[in-house]
Amino acid sequence: MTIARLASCLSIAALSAALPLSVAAQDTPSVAFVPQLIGIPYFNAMENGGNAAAEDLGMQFIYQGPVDANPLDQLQIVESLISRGVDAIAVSVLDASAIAPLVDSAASQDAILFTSDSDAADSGRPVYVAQATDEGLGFKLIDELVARVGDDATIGIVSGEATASNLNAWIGFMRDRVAAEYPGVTLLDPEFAGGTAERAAQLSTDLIAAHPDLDAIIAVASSTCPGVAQAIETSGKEIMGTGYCSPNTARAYLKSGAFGFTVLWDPYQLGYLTVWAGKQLIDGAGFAAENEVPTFDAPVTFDAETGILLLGEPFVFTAENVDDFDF
Amino acid sequence: MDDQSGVGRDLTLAAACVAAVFLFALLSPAFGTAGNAATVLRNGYELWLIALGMTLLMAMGAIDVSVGAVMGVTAILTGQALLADLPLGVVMLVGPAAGAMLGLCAGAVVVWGRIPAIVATLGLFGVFRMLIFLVLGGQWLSGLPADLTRVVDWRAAGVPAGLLIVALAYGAAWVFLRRTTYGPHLLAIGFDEDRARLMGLAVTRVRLATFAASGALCGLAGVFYIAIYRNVSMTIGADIALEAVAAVILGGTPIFGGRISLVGTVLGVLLLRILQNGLLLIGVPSLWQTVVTGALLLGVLSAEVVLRRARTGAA
Amino acid sequence: MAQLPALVDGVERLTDMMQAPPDAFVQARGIGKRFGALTALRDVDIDIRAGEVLALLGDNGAGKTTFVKVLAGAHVPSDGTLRIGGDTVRFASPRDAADHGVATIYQELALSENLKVAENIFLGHELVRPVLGVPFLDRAAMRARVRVLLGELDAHIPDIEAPVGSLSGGQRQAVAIARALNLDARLIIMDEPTAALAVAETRKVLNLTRRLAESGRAVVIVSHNIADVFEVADRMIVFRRGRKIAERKRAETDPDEIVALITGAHPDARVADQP
Repeated sequence: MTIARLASCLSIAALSAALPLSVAAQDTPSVAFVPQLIGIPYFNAMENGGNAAAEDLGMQFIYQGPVDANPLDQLQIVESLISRGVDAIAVSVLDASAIAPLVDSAASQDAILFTSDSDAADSGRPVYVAQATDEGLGFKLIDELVARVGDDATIGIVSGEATASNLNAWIGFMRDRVAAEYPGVTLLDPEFAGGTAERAAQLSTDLIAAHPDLDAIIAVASSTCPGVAQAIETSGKEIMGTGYCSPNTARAYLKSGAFGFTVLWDPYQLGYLTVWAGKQLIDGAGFAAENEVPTFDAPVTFDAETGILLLGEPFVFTAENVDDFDF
Repeated sequence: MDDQSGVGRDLTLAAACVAAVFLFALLSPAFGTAGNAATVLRNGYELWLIALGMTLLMAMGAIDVSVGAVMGVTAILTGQALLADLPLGVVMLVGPAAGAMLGLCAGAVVVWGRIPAIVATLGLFGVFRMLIFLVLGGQWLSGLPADLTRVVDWRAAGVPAGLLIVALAYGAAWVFLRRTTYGPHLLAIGFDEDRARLMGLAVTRVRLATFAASGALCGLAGVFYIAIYRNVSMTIGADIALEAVAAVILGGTPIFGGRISLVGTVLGVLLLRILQNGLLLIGVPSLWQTVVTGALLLGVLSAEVVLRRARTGAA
Repeated sequence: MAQLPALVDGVERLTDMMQAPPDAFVQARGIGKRFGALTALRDVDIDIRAGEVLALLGDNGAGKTTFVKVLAGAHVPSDGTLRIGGDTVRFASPRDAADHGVATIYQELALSENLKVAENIFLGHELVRPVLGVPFLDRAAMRARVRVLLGELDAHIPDIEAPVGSLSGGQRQAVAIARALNLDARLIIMDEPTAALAVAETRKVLNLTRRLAESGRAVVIVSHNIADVFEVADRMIVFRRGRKIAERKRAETDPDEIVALITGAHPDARVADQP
């Protein structure tokens, strides 16, 4: 991990140097989005949505993030964006505890820092652009899974980085739902695979060995989906895989039957909404309880108390509908 | 090459493996099954191959921290060769060939750039990672056909072909080390590179060949990766360099070179994989596994220091 | 008056050179070596003959080690020519030198202590049986040859499978000399062969050195130990400040003169002290 960190520091330095330093000098307002890591289809789709919104709304959009899910690298990128004079910066937070000081330091340099995709609730950020509520995602996945494997199932969880606050929040609500609604279900403690697919596969294989009565495995981080699916296929057992997996990542496994379904939202729309929210903040326009957003079918709700701008209901992808999506 | 302390280390490691197996089997009924044993071995394939190359490099006083990225690049090439429907024999050679070339690159930078191996390969790690990013274009390479999987999991008299290939690689390395001029030359360079040069050894050639061999082994690991996981993501191999170095040091090949233990590396990898598997099976959260591995490594190294002090004190 | 001995010495050198047999194994002429601005060696002429032991003496940094490294192929000289066995040579590496019959036994650096006795003796020159181009070791042949070599040197090494690091200083010197003999060296250079040896072992190594010369090889020893030098060397050359300042036959000098030359007390030494 240390090696990856050093190498990614080098590449961050190179990237920062390569990007224009004259952002502040331009007239078009600029919005940046910092994902948890670059190079996975999920955040690529957000980038595409952000670019589309920037074009529709007349903004400049900057997309920059760490090459692995490293909180320290992410903070450095946010800091460099603030000092470069970007007007609004959205972050998919890796380490919630480290964001608060940056919100203040951004404000002192006429920049607005807000969160999108993964939140830091107590950081003083003006808005969190949520793909769905953590509660909605956690509940939806458990409800759909129990409907398929029964209310006496044993369910394993494979997550990514143990510090990713969104993943942990979803796991928390899964537990709440099981405790409240399905007393017969056994939800095992989550195993953390970090960012690598091979570790996710190894952990899943071990989970299957450790629990001969396992009925399902939930891949919480998108990076763990193929590993979980591969382990289920290799085991040859009747175990249902599921998780928060993008259609492209899960397509082969949904069709092979290793995955029964996956739950997610459309990150393209989330990226679009993020840039729209950035524009509202820069313009000082704020948010109404219900907002009309260009290209969106339904109005987008805003909860003034929690500061959450909600994309909508989570979506369930299955073998039947997966080909309608490409991210 | 096999002085007393080396054999002692091998025995200690073997004892640790056996003890871990008994402990885990006692604590978890799922551990001591044939299926789980096969899983532990199967999870070790890539690490065994990469650690073998790392053992040769470290015996020579070098190191290559870019091995994970080399495995990534070669895994992508193997995956694409698979998708291009090339003959399976060709698909299996693409990775080792490309890996040997990348290893040779690393060797050339170290030898002719006169840059310490850890610094040079750290830089190459970044370069290769960027290469993976550019090739993948931010997508996963997933849903690959299972042709290689069938090769690796094919069993001859109950022994998986994957394990046989790994054993063959170690056997070939053993022959080269013990039965050809390569072994003494490698260890003389590892003991003192300048002295080896004064003694008239073709130091540059041996160093380049060793980096290339390690690269080829990483390439073979890339083939295994595709066979076992059938997908490639950006983060492929992010942690495997450190795991390999840990296994090699556990096995008794010192980080400063001059000594080598292939048996030690085999056992070091086995112990790491048994611990990872067994700890999860007895219900230790996966987060703690890295702590246990780290503690083990520190324990072994400091025990060694204490023992050496005791021995020299007694002498 | 002060110039007289120098003059006499000069004449002696001239006659020496005229009388020098034309087949001196090594003929070094005008050898110089600079490292950047530093001149480590300046205009050195030396003949080394087969069958004799030549001692190189001098204070630390006087240039004797630099000269040895030029002979051994570890340094490429900046000036001058080197003829070995009648051929003008230009060594790019220690391996080149070894191929011309020059073997060097560096103090403390002669062997790879992690390897076995036989491995050290043959390192870089192993006896092999190539199979498909792979140089497989002919271990039986090497073990037999090791016994012959060590027997020839009358060296007692109980376990030739032991790593050299576990041997005594004298045993290591014997292994290093066996290595030189195995390479069929015609010039053997020994850097401080008796440093850090016990008395009995020193005796053995000096006997070995004499025996090497008597077998028709040229031997060069670099040493600080005047008593050892007088016991073993036929000729002595003193270095000072990168120059050769004196050359003496053992019969024509005594330890006091040599020490005076080394320390700069001798009038001849002043040649080197001029800018």
